Amino acid sequence: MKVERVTEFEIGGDFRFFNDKLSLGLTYYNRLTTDGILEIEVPPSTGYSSIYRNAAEISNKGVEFDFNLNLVNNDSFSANIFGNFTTYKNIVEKLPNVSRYILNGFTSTSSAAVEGAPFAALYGGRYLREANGTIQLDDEGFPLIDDEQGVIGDPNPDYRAGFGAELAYKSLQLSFLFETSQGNDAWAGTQGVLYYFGIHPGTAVESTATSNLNTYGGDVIPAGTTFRGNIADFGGGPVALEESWYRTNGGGFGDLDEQFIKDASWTKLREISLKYSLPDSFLNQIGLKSSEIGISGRNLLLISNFDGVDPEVNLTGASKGRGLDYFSNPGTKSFIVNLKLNF
Amino acid sequence: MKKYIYLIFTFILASSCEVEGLNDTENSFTDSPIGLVLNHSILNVVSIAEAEAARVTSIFSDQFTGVDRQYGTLNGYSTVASNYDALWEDFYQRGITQAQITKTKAIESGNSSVEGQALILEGYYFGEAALLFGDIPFSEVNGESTDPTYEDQKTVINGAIGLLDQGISKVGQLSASNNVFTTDSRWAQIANALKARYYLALKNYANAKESAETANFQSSSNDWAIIHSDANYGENLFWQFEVEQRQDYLKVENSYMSRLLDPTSEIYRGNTKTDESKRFSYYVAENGLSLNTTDGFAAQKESFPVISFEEVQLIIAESSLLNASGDEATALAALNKVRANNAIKFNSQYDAYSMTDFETGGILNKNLNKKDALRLEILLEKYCSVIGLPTYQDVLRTKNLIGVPIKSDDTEIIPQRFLYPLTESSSNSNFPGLIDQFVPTKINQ
Repeated sequence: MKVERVTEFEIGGDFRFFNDKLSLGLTYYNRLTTDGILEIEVPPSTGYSSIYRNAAEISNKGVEFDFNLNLVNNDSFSANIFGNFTTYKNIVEKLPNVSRYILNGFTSTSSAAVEGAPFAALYGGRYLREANGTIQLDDEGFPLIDDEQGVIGDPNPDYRAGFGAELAYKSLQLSFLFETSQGNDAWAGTQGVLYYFGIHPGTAVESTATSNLNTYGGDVIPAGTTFRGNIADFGGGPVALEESWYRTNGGGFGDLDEQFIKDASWTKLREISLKYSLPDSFLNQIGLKSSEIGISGRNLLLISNFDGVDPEVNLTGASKGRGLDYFSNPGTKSFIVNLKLNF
Repeated sequence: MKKYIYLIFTFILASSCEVEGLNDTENSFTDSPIGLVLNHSILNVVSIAEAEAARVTSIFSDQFTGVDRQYGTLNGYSTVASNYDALWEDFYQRGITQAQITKTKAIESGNSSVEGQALILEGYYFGEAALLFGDIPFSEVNGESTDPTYEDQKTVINGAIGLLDQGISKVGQLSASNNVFTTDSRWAQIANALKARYYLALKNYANAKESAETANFQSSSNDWAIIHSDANYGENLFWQFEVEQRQDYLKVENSYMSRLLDPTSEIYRGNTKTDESKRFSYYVAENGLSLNTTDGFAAQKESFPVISFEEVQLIIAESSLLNASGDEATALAALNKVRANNAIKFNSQYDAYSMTDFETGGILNKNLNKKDALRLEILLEKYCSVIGLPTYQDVLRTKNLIGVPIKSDDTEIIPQRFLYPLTESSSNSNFPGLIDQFVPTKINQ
């Protein structure tokens, strides 16, 4: 075993303009981890299951940018806006001896290191595809499933950003902060399980067959019949998705994990707060030096198309794995009222 | 003062490269006494014979039905390679390798009876793995190779038989009863019974018959049966699966076997000489759907036979019929031994069959010639009395002679093999490539 080495090139600048009214920070980094030490699997037929090896070469390059702009600052009014933006590409360049290294997750869907794929790529059961990418179908028009799992999603965002402001008028202060993550995938495990049990709004619908529709269970729903479920087209004409589909490979306990990989981009109002400082003239009369009353809230607003608990929360917590949604507790929404008194 | 500081500094520099044993963890032991490793190799048989592989094969051969969650999907034969990762580890890491370590330690200490047990266990693991997966790593397992090559299925099964033979030559008259297994058999009898199973799979009927007769199983007390108790984790594994772990995943609901045994079903096997109602309730709970976990097959303390009297007798029956001499009398006698045993076991009617029952006009003729009718009855009897891996192999070997229904529209045959696990395709550079589960293994092509 050799030591794991990290080689990093980083260049950045901290710029200030207009008497510090505008400050900008910009950083570019390019990091290469070589001989990364991982406990990777060996063929169980060797008699062992894993070995520590200098296995991985992982690159990570990215740009970070932040700014702070002081718009107004006088006796009665001040306004400050600030923001940041980061983007990175984190790629597993080399992973010899194994085709994947599971970081975290389930035997079905996991977050894994796979050579050539982004770090922590989502890995699981996928559609069986032709060389040109078309999904292969069975005689009834339902998708076939690849016997071998593969990369099915990328939980790394295209970019993350934040934007906020601090505004003050006399004794009143208002501040807020928005954060966003765009282009990250997640495995909607919660949705899959609810589909299986038929307790998700997506399965609690009725459809009317427009033509004779095949079901996954091998039956035919005659045209004009109303049934519980949906109509879908995997490329071979419309088919009926009903119990026999959702209870097997159309649900979260089936082998087709790829169908539950969803765009998990999100934007959150991370924090908003309003404060009021009582005037000194009033305070002096009751023997207080200063006093402040405030109300603030965290995570009050979430904008996301992701169908799960919380696109920001990962099942396996603060681990190397990410992008797994499976009945995890969401980030809490909180209101805080505070009163500060200084004697 | 400065001098001392220099001195200390020099000392640190000089000693820093002499730290040894940084990679040794005192708390992780790397070796165990021979008795413990042998025990492990014995206990691990349970994970092969009575656990996931038994459940999956019984779903494929429709003795049982996969109903809930992952098992619902499996019931339609949908599966992926990673489903077999754990089983493969049970075979290779926890089975074969431990048996080989036991063997090495036994040779070092000159303990030939332990060596014999280790050889028999190694033969069992290789035999079962080759039957399920086809070509598998054999001679390079647990050796120098970091990427063991896959060897021909027949070579491996014959190798397994060779290991059993070596084992037989070492175990003498040693009893196979221990704290995992209850049996009146000796190790040599168990090994011969296993040889019979593997010869049968190879369609070597003469040797199958000979080995089964040498095994000399006279009653159910010869069963190589896993002991179960009400101690936590000591319970029957089907009971644990249904009652404690995965309720309703695996049922008997509408399975081919349950319909054969159900007196109200159209395909009921019973006749004037046979009453299957007791055997039906041995497998099926009162609700008619679940496994009987109270006083039947999946009861808490019900032992599970890895190889049974019924299996050995029915190997004699079928192979007598199929070897060169085509001995129908011996076949019928062996079948009737099983029926007599059933009569006691289930306290029910299993009168002896006579040859006329299989002739034209007989109750079991079913428009076949006498010999075929007899063989069909032997296979059906085995299907209803031996659960899991051996029966699955019978269905594959006989090209589904007993007519197990196909539970998927996308195939006309049941899965013919277990998929190679993802752990091997991921890390073994000599991996031969994934083979579709509907491609028969070489012995059945």
